[in-house]
Amino acid sequence: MIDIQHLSFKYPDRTQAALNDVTLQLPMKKWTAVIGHNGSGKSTLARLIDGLLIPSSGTIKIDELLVDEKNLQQLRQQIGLVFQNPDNQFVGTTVADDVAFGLENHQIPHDQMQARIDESLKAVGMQDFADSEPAMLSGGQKQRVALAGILAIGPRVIILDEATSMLDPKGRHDLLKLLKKLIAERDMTVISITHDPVELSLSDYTVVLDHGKVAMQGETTTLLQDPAKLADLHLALPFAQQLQLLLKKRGINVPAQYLDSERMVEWLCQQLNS
Amino acid sequence: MSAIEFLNVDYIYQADTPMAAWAIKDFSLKLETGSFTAIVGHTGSGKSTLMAMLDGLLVPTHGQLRVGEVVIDNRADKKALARLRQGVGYVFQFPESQLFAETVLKDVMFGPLNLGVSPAQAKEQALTALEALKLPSDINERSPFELSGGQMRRVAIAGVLAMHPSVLILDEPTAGLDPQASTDLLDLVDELHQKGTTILMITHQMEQAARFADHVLVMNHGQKAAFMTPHELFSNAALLNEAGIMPPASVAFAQQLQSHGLFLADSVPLTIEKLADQLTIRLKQGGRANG
Repeated sequence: MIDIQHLSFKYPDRTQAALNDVTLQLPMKKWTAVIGHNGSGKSTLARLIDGLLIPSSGTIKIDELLVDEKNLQQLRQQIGLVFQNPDNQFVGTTVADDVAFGLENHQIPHDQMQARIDESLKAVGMQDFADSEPAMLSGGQKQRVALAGILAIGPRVIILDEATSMLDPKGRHDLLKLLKKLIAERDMTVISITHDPVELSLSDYTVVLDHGKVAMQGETTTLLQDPAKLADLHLALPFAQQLQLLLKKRGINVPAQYLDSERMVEWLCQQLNS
Repeated sequence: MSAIEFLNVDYIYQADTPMAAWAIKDFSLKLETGSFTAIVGHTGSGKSTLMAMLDGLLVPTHGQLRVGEVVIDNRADKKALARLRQGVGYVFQFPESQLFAETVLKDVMFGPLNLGVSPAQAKEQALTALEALKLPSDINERSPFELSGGQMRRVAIAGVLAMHPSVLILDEPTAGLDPQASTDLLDLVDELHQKGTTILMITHQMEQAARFADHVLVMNHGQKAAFMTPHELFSNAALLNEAGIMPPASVAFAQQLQSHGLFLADSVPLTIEKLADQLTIRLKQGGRANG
C-alpha cells in the first residue's frame, strides 16, 4: 500500500499549508480517485508521492520504499506521471522517438528499446502512429502516447494529474476505458487526481481533499451511497447520483444505497412498470 | 434584420495551389439577433474556420457573410474587417494563454484601447467587464499570472467583453476548468445572452448545448449537417449517429428507460432537472416510492 503519515507541505511563497497533517492508506493494484476543489491540495499530494516535492513534515512509503531524495532513482522507475496538458509533455520529433527518450533517461539497454517501444505503443493502440509527428495527433492520442512512454518504463504506480480534463468526451471515454483494461492486465496501481465524475465512478477507492485536509475517504461505492455529502462540498457527481439527489429533493424515497445508471433504471422500472 | 448571415460561403485553404483544401463548402445560415447557437462537430469539421471568418481573421474564398451591417467577401479591405471586429468578440480556446500585460487591469484595457477608445473610457469599460465576471477588485493591480486557472480564464474573457461586442464567440470556454468554475462561467454566458448578446459557442459537451442553446449547428466535413433546436437534434437518432454525436446524459438515460419499456411523455429531456421532474410526477402518481 501507499502509506502516508502526517504529511504536511507549504509552498515557500504562501502563508497557508497546501497539505496539513494528511494521513492516508491507499491500496495497491487498485484505482484511487483523489477529488477536491482547485486549491484543495490534490496536485500537491501527487507531486509529493512522485518525489517532485519534498514534504515539510511527515512520510510517504510505497510498500516499503520511503519517498525521499535517496530513493529518487528507484521511485522514478516505479512511478509514472501523466500531466493535464497533452502538449507540454513531448520532446521527440516522432511518437516512437518520444517513447525512446524516456527509456534512454532510464538507461534501458539499446537492444531492448525497440521491443519496449513497440509493445507499449501497441498497448495503447498507437502502433500505427510510431513515425507520426506528435503535433499532428489529437489530444486523446497525445495522452495515449504519454501513457505509452510511461508503460515502456514498467512502473507499478501511475499518477494521472487531471490527465483527461482537456480531452473531448470521446477522447476521455476511450482513454479511461484503456486505463481500466491496462490496470487489470498489468496489476497496476492508479492514482487519479480528477474533477471528472465518470473517472470517479470508475475508481475503486476515493479520497476527498478539502483545504489541505482529508474530508472523506473510503470505497467509492460506499462514498457514493451518500451523494448529499459530496454535493455539499460542491463536487461533481456521477449522473445516477445527481438524479438520485434531484428525486430526493422532489420528495421521492430513493433507496439509500449505491446505484449506478443501470441499477437506477432497474429501480425506476420496478416502481413504475408494476 | 438577422444578426449574422452566411451566403454560399466557401473557404479553401491555399486556394489556387496544388495544396488547396476545402474547409467550408457552400455554407449558408442566418442567425437572429440575441440568439444562442451551439456549434458542434468533430475536430476538422470546419467549426473554427467558420468562426475565424466571423471575426475577420479569414475572408471567404467565395460567397459572402454579413454581421450587422458589415458585409465581407473576398474583396473586403482592412477597413471593412476592422469594422467587423468592432462588433465581434472572440474568446479563443484556453484564452488565458494569451494574457500578457503586467497587471490584470492593463490586460483588460488593451482591447478597448486598440479600438481607439480614450484611456479613461477604456479603464471604465475594463472595470465594468471585470466586475461582470465577478472578479474581486483587489486583483486589478496584480499580475494576471499569479491568479488561479479559473480566474485567469475570466480575466481573458473580461478582455473580450470590455470591447462591448454584440456578437460573442466562445471556443470550448469550459475546457480544463473544474466543475464549479465551469458552472459559474456558463451562468455568466447565459446572463450575457439574456441581456441581448448574440452568442456562438463551440462545444463538445452536449449537456451544455442542450441546456443553454436555442439552436445547434452541426458541422460535418465543412458543411452544415444540421441547424435545429436541441430538442429536434437530440430526438433524431439517425442524424446523431451519422454525425458521431452522443446525446446528453439525461437523454441517454431516458433512452435506457425506453429500452426497458418505460416511456416518458417527453422522451428527450434536455436537462437532468427536466428528467427528474417527469420521473417525480410518474412516481407520485402510480409508483410505490411515494414519499
